[in-house]
Amino acid sequence: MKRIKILHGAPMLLRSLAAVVVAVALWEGIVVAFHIPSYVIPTPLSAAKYVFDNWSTIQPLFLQTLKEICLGFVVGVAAGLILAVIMSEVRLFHTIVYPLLIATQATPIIAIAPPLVIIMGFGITPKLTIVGLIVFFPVIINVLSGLSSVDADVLALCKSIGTSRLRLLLLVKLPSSLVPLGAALRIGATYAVTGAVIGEWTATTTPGLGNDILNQQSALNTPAVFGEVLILTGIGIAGFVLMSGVERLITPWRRRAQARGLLQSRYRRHVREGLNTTAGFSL
Amino acid sequence: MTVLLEIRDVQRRFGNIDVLSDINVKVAEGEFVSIVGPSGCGKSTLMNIIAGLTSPDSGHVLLADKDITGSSGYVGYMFQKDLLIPWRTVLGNITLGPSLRGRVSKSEVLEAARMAERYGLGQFIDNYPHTLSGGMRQRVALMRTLLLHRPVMLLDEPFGALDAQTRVQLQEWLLAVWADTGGTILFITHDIDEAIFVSDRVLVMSARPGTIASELQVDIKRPRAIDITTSEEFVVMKRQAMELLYTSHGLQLPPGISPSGESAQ
Repeated sequence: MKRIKILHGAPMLLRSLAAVVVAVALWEGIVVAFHIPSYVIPTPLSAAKYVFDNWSTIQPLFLQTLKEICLGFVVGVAAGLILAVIMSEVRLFHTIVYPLLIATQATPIIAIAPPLVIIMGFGITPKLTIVGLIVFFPVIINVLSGLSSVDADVLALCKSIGTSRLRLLLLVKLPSSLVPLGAALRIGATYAVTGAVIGEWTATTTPGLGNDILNQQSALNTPAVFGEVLILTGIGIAGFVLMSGVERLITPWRRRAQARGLLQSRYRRHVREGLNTTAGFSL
Repeated sequence: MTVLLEIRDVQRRFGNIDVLSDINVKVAEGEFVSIVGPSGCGKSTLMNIIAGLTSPDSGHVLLADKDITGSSGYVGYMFQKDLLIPWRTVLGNITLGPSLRGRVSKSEVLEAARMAERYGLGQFIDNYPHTLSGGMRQRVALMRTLLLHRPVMLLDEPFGALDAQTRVQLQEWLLAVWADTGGTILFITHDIDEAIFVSDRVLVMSARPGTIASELQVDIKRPRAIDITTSEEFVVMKRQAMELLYTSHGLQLPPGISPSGESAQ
């Protein structure tokens, strides 16, 4: 019992941080102890130092890549949600689109990046397309399964009450896909980073960290490569943590006994007023 | 006695199995009628037909002389599973009907809250269903059905999944609610004790084809408390019901036991 309790909250965060510190220290120690040259594996401190010393040149690259990740993520999630809803509501559309959907994921993204540049130019569009293509798949698969997971008896109950298709979608089907959507957001946030880097590995007029990694790599500036990889890792972790927060926010019933804030006040207020005006109401 | 709900010559086949055949039932306004029968006798199919979720092959369902065959939204329907929506609070679940049909008005929210208060769930209106016991969940499900304000409520084995003690509590509670709110109830169960305890009239169904084999008038005076189930009046009635049930099914009782409870020696 006590062990499980310790795993929650601040102590758990401390443990995770401790694990990271230990890993970094091991890395540093091994590189130093075995005299590994820094162009093969740099120490984490030298990678961090590179980032720190060259922040003014790295910052615009970082912001460009971050922009691609964020916009591409939003595009992917929106496309996934919209497609999932249409596919679940229109059977014919589902039949037509599903094989294409699988095809987009069976295609190696890295192989279609160059043709996308030819089609869409050197701007941000091909990057957003690649990030979107990676992100939308978990979203569409999870939301589709959520939409179709509604208990047949719940649907019968709603039908017996009498409702419109739109209300059934908004009040019953979509909310039941919030839990799988949360999982898809977490997966998508980490995959989006890979998407942005692959997108930048082709010709571009707006360089980001992905481009620069290639440049530094050819100059054998390995500390720079590792430093930028660490930034990308940080973006991925931050995205995951942020989306975990979003997931908790959109599924409050999973961790609370009672509704709070906006979810209850609408009722609470009415109820308080109502019960006060019916003073003397007895069992 | 005005007939509120009438089921006229209803037939239904699934494939080549006659699930329901020649079903004729009249339920008067304000009456509490139970249907008992073994599983697989088509009770739930009949409920689905009345609720408009399934259409009969022939025959009609009339509500206050209006033909509602195959149309849903006319009767309140409560299932054996509570079917509470996990992300809606207790109050949100009670008001599910109005919100599925449009906007929930303030008076409906108030009514739901008062109902919860009155029936012992006032502390729980903001709770999510996963925090409630099985009995509390079924209470919420009944309140959800009540808030629809339909003239007829169909209760399909509403307490079937509960433990014996909770079931008895909820039977008494249902009678108390019914005494408050009135209304017409058609109640399905396979439990003879439950059927007699709650009803004015018990209809006995036979299986394959499912049809109303016989009926039993329950004249035990109300209000009824659970201790009447051991009264002589009740036991006599139960004996009759069992006889009807077993003869209508052609079921063989184990040797040495007769349905009337007397030893065959």
